[in-house]
Amino acid sequence: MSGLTLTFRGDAGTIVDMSSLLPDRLAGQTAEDIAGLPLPCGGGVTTVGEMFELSTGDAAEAMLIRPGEAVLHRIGAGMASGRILVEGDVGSHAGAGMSGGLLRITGNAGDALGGALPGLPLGMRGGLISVGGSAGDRVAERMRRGIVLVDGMVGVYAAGFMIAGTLAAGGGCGPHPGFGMRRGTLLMGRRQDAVPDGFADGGTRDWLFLHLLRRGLEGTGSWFERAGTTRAHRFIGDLAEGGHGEILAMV
Amino acid sequence: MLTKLAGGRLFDPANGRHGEVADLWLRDDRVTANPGPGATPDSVYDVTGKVVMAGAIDIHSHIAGGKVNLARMLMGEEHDRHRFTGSACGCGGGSGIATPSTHTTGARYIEMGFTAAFEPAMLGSNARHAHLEMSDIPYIDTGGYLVLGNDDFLLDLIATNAGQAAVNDYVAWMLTATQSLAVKVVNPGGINAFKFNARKLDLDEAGPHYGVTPRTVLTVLARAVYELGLPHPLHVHGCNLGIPGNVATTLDTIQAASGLPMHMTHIQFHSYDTAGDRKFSSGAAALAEAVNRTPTLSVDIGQVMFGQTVTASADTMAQRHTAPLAHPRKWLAMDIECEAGCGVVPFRYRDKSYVNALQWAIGLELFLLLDDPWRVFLTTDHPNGAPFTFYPELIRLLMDRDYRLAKLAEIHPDAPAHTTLGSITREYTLAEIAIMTRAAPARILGLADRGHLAPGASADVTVYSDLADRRAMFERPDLVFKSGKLVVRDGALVAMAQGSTHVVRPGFDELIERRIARYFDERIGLAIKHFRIQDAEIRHGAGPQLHPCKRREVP
Repeated sequence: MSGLTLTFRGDAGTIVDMSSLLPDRLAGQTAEDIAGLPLPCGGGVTTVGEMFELSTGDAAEAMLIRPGEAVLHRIGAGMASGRILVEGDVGSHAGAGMSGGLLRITGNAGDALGGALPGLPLGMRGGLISVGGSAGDRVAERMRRGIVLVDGMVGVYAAGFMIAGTLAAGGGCGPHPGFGMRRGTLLMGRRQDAVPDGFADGGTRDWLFLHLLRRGLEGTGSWFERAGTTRAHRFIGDLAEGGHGEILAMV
Repeated sequence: MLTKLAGGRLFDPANGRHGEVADLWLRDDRVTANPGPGATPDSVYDVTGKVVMAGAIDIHSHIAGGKVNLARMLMGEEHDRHRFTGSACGCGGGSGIATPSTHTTGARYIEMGFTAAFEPAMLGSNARHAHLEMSDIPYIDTGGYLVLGNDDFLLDLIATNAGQAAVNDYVAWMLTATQSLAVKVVNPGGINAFKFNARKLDLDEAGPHYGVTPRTVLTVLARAVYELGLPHPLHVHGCNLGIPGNVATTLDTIQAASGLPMHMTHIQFHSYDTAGDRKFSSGAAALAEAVNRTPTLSVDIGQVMFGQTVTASADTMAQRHTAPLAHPRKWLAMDIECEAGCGVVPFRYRDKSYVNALQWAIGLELFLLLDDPWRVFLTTDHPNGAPFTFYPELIRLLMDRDYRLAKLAEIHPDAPAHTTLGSITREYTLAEIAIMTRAAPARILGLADRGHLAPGASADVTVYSDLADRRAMFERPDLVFKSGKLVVRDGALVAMAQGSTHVVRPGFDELIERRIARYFDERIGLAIKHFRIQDAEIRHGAGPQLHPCKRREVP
């Protein structure tokens, strides 16, 4: 790969804010330039070179991040284009406010994956996030466009206040899925027996839309590609917000 | 520890000094008299030609408590974008501009030479939180004004004609229990009426549930404050805030005090008239005239300055009214059960907006038309009109007419025609600034040892270079001492210091406590003993600084 590789080399448990390390922002810069950039870290500021070992390569091609034992928050937050691959786990707000590009995380993600940054009224606005493990609470909160794929479980308030877009959680959701949802789709790879709060039962059937979605996601390697069926139980809501959103639980 | 500030020009209006050259001596945390030729000071600062004033006092700045914290959360992006690392002196840094974190609040104030700022809207149920936050604000003295006037207990006392004595006891009990310095009333009766679906309540309109008019609430509270002998008169945030034509209500409110002392706060927001095509104009001239001839009245302005800020108020009625104008588009409102409410609306004042430009001009007009600097205070109603960090710019606008006219030429072209600002020639003098920001606030709050430089006063001292650019001068003092300790040198923090919390404790008849205890059990669901704030909870155990009250009879 001719992209840029960042391998964490600091102490285990170090908290780092990665929001400044975006492919479009680092494009065309040499490894030396990038190593000298300031990096908020553990309540203070250090440099990228201090915390990461950098390979030579252009971030415009792709960025590979190896977090090691660090807690990397806000990876890809605000990303507009490019590709980031993370080999390992990430902290909170990965891909928050993202408007384009691809973010692939092989491990687990923390809270607010594809969600909104503090104080901002909108979450993710475009692009694709795919997570191999599980994710925390408030995934895809206030999302407006784009797709978030999580192979494992997601926590509480999944797709909360979602305006539009798609969240597909293979392992299902914690309590209060789709809270305040206006439009959009929350797809679950599991049965959902109880009707979620604020939703109405829409019956079970084969959804043509899911065929299209599956075709669109070919090559991402996500759980949904492997799911054998397109039959799902549909719930409509959140009724308090007009009820144009849907939760689809695969059966 | 003896410190000498040699050769400065003292601006100490409380003691009749207006720029006289004299040495100032500080012993430990107090100003002291010249100890005579034999004394050897531990440190001497040559401040020849420089301006020496007491530390400034902000009498109205929302720096702690429930709504401030809600505003911080609502304005999360501001804390993301503006982070400050800690300084070498031990201040922990922080974040935020319009809703600064506690350490940032203290640091920004002391860097401008302010050594005290008072939280003007502390709800009883949020008082413990507010005190914990105030304990965490370094460098400056603080205190809270207790918000009454929409609480069910008081409205019930008034509606059932329980009598002034019962009201006085209740007010005194609440002040003591919540460790407050003064009483504030916010939209008297209006916040309560809002809960019963009223969206407007005029001064003489009976509230929908208790049938009590705002005028009655005002007079009853003003009388309670007077009779209990609190140093600070009733702090009034009137009815109809921000509504064109509200200057008439404000003039009526002055009448409602019927001779009792009253402090009317952020009057800029209460000085709007309805002349002109846009039905929005300045009512400043009429209001200034009324204030000028009412010596029992004091005011602060609540100046609007252009830029992004956030408005946070207990006045749910006014906040719901402005919510559609929120920028960025988000807001919150909250009910505080039996006490009041809370609304937070982000706002960006723009100089090219007719309304905002006029608000800016009205505030300045008021400053300049009010004759007596002892009765008018420098505030932006932080953060409602602007963050307090705009004070140096505001001082320059007041002291420099050419600068003011230049700024007036930049605002919305239709606005100047609806104010008299362009024709006002007055420029504030340094002595008047010293009165307005030091001597007068200390006097109106009853802080006997603050705001002046006589022997015995707290050694809170600010030294400025006398620059022609008054903004630069007041933005960056050369030296700031807090309680005798040098904490700022050339605008930068060099040492850590802690202020104290000021409170009053008028006595009350113990009988009222039984009645309040029953109310707490039945309506609030909290035992009265948990509501009461102990001295040990103030300033990490240091306890509050008490100020005496002198009971009086209404003549």
